[in-house]
Amino acid sequence: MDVVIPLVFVGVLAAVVLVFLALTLVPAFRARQSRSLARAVGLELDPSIAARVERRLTLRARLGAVGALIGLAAGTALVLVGDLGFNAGAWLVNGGFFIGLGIGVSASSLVALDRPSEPTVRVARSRDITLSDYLAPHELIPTRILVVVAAALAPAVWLVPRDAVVLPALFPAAPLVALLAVGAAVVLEVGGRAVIARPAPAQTAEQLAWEDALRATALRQMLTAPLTLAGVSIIWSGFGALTLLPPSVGQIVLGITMPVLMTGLIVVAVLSIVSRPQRYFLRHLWPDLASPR
Amino acid sequence: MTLLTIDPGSATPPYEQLRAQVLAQIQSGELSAGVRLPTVRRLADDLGLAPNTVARTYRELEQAGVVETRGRNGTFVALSPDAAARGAQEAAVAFVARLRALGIPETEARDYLDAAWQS
Repeated sequence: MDVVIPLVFVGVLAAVVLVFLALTLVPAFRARQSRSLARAVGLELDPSIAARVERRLTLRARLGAVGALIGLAAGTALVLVGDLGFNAGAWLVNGGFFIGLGIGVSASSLVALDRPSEPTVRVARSRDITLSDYLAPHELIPTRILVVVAAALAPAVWLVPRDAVVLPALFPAAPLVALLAVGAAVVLEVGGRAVIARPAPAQTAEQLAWEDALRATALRQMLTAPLTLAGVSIIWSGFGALTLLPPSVGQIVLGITMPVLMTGLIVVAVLSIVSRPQRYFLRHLWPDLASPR
Repeated sequence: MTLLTIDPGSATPPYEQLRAQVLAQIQSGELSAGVRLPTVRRLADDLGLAPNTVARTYRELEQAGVVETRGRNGTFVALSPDAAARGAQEAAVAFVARLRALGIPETEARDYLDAAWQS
């Protein structure tokens, strides 16, 4: 039973990824993806750029899907080999999927390079750029903090008495998910810097802006895994830490932290919707092009 | 947005196009003191130039005192436009004083300056 449910989950995820991979073969789907991205990032999809954007998005979708499938397979193999329990099994599969997706997306940005074939006018940015030029502070900073907190809280699970009611759900799931969150954060920090360090050959400012758009969206995809995994790990480890307190104190702490946590999540979600973080790079790097469309 | 444009068809050498644009952005305040410039390799790749061309530009800007290299941390904008102008004025005064000491007339000194500018 502990293994069967994660395996059903694996099957569903793999099927979704395969359908998505098949859709990348359909020209109409690829064109729609490009138009959808243009609307999201707030840039005009000029015909001279459309083919380039479509090619890059397709490559990203395919390498991301392949990475996700490999991560899924690796997670599944570990679930089958080890006796990890339901929670750990499900999140190992989930973590493998997202980390694999992040590595695939990062690889697609590293592979893709559209160099002009002949000498031509070239434009480049005159200052150095970093991750914080592409990712909004309210996304990047909380992610880094959550990963550190998850890694710091995970050992608390080892202190929970072995006969505690919650232990089967927490161990080894919470420390394992914290470990996956750290791995995903490494993919973001190392892979993300590698993506940014890649040359961005462009003949016009519009091409450079689109290059930034593609990089920003790739980095935001890579951010999903550490954010989600760290959040889950903190909740589990937090429950573990609560069991170490006397029951009456634990209930009070839980009564305070849960509403605060839920409110915080709602505030962050609303902020994300209102501030349109997918256009952060545009407002930050291309204020002239950013319009309230 | 602080952009650099290199036109391979221009009569002006690429390193001079690059130097003039970086200097203009620093003097106009678009690139402020402390801002890190792209690495030589990155800028060369982006602009389709040889790394030596970009390195030469950075070297000349560093000699002019407008950028500074901080070891492996990279190249940074060093001075405010006023300070750069002061540095240029000091260099000009030193140049004239040296040529006067050598007994070089003004017209010949200008020829040397033009030749150095073109090299």
